[in-house]
Amino acid sequence: MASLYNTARRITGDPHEAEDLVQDTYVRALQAYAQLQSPAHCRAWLYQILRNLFIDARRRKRATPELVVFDGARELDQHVVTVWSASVEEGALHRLSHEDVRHALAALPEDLRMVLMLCDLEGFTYHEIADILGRPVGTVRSRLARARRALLIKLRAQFNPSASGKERAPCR
Amino acid sequence: MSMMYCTTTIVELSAYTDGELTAEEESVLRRHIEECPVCRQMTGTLAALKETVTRSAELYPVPRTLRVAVQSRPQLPRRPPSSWRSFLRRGAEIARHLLSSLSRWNRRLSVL
Repeated sequence: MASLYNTARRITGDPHEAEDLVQDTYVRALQAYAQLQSPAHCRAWLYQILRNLFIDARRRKRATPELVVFDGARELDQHVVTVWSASVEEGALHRLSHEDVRHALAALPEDLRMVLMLCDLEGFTYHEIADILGRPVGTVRSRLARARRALLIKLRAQFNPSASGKERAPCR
Repeated sequence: MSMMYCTTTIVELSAYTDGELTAEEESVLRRHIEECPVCRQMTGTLAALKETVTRSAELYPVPRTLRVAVQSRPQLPRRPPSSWRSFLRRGAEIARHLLSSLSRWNRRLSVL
């Protein structure tokens, strides 16, 4: 329950909303228990319910439909050489405060933040995340890469605002 | 594959960092990383990022009200025989009412 609640807190940003979300998740799980394919998938299944309830709640709150910015064909350059030149350096990552990292994470689009949390914080495999999100494994793979690239660029801007937008030279 | 002609993508290195490549893909990429300084540095950066994200995560204690509410609900059964399903649905309905009442009651208490 602790990890489910922590995920709810991180995605909602509100303790009361998170509490309601977890309670609703358990209630929905009891109602839909017959749909659970295998008890081994119970944890991923609970996260799937939590995520769906969260999206439903957000849709009800929003006057206009959500625009998913990072999906679709307008893919940015994913080559390592390009990404590396705009990223924060490895050494700088160790010097960043927890607050800096949380701030950069919070600034990510919802779909990217979610996939990163499920992978890095909850330790789900790509297949499990695909089940939770209801997306193909390939989408999870590329979405995670986009999340990391966006985070590295944000962290570079936070660590060294004057370097933001500039490329760094490769060192051999 | 030299660095000048490196066409490796962040998607591949990200999956490599997560240990999500097939054995063959991983072996090919590992050999490339040994030769390509940018991919080598990027792999180190991605591993450090993963660790940084994990390390910086705030841990929120589960509120007592939530713990009590969830523990008082019927437990998830192991595998319900079909005759139990209608019984469970009824139980879940009751639990839902109980939980929402508890939640409202707790909120009122916290306001007071």
